[in-house]
Amino acid sequence: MEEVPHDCPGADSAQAGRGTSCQGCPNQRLCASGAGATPDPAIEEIKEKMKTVKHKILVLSGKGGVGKSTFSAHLAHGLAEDENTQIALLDIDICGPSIPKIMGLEGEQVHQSGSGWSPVYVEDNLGVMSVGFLLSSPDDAVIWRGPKKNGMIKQFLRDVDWGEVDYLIVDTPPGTSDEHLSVVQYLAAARIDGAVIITTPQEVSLQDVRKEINFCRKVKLPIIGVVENMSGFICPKCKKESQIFPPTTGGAELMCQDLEVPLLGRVPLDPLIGKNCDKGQSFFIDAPDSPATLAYRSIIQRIQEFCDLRQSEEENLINS
Amino acid sequence: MAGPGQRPRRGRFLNTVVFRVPRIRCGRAWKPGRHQAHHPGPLRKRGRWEKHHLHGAGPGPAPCGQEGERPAPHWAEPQAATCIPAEAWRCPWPRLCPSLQVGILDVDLCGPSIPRMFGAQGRAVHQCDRGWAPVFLDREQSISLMSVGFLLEKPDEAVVWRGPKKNALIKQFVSDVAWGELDYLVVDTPPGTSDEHMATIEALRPYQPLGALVVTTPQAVSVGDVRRELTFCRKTGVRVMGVVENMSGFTCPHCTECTSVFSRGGGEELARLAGVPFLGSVPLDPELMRSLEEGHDFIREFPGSPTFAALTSIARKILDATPTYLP
Repeated sequence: MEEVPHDCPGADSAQAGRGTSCQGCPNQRLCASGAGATPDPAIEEIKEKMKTVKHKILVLSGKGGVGKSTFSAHLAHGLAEDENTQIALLDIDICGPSIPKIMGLEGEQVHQSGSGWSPVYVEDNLGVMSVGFLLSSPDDAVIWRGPKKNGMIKQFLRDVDWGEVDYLIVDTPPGTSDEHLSVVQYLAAARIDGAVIITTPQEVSLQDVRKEINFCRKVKLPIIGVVENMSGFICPKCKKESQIFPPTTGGAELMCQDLEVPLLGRVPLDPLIGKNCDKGQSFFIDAPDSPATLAYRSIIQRIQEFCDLRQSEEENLINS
Repeated sequence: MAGPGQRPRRGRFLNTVVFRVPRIRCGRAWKPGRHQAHHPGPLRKRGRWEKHHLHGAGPGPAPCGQEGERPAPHWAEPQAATCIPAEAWRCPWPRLCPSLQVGILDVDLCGPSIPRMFGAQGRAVHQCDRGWAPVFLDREQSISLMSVGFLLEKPDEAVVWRGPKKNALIKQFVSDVAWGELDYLVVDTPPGTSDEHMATIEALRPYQPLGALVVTTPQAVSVGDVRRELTFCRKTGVRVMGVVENMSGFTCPHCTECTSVFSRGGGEELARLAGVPFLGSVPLDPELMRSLEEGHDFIREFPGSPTFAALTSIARKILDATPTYLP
């Protein structure tokens, strides 16, 4: 779609093509004819493509910098430890694609085959796709407005040949914007298992997580639970715990009680997590006994249990 | 009218009729109330005693305590269809130069944190004949704020808008808010290089922004994203005033051992490679976090903190460098 006016009412609104802000827009005739109101054919194509994907998990957060990409990557690593499970990690943070670096895949390229784009494989059972693989230099900035980002997300979902996948993990940018609306819209017919929301203990972060939870409820996206990241720091010298990000309003636990969503777990701050992400390695290999590793494993197990429960509920529904 | 060398008379909203700006209806583009602004361009061109230095993505000034909250009007039921809060940490500009007037514009529409960080949540935006009145923190009106957080009917409602609506609101924030005489306008942006950033730059371009402050944490993953931010600044013609490395080290309160929680040195290395000034490193400080959460004045309460020293040094560098950036 070409450049839209700044106060575009939206292609699927009642005012599409008829509002005063539509004057002069190159798409005015298209919108006025009602073409924008018809469902996107790509949604059906994506539904077909997603038939080979058993479970789809979105990783969301309200605030930036809370550790979403780190969590997505380690969720993928944790699930992929079972060699019989096929995992796919999709990074739809178009402006800030960190997944290639965290997975140690910087500089890799995407190849195209007859059946579509081929994801980049970290291991035999862990494939990754990100816009970072499509950029020629680590300095390249993706300065795109919403419609172009939506087009990219559509291509990721429709044109990538994921194959038979047990878990598709989608890492999103912070907030509740174009990318989130698009991924929920495109995967609407394909059924998302649920969303995991990451936060830190501070109220400033929780404030935005409440908005994120409201967003999930509005778009009828099930919430698997909330993960409290950077929750406490153990000093490597004296082994005493400090709260770098103090939970002044009760932290994620109180928020989860108030909003009736599960708290999946708390991950403490460990400097080794950051170091391993920078090196592109799995933190679980470097520090298998760290409290952070144990926290991650327990959270991953709860996510798996949720997905299995949903699957068995659906099967019961179909059979009854 | 004030003479040359004198500050213009304060109390610019005396003798004007003030109307409450209706709260935002999420899911729909917000339109101003029925009383239109008289002067749509409050950021007037520089006069002899009006200096407008515009910033992007920089630190915000210290708050001056809470004022009484006005009750929110119930206009309509809302229909909602990188670097963490640190990008809005306080800067002790008013302490260094008490006569400075600073405005903070929060264009993070999905995650507006500025109201909370200044203890101003629940405050309402009023409309006068010159436009929307920003929220003032103190009697002297030395710090003014504008954020979508002040326009939401309920604080937990999500702003789920696509690009064009966000662009429209940001344009209104710049053109319809009666900022008045400001020495600095600091714009807090969300992470990324997308609609909000492009809209802000387009709206501010006629006012010749001083430049952008880029904030990163020390890890390579964060620096990797910030490199793209620097490219964005270069492509859009925005000068980079400097790089700040935030969350650079944590000193354990029990044994005073300093640990690099998020690695160290990435910001300085990035500034060196990109050929932009490195303004300083700010350590992690739970007291700063607590102050931001509770809306307290960290600068007043913890002047002995190493974080205070780091913030003051960065503020001083910006103040000293400002004359060189003015056209």
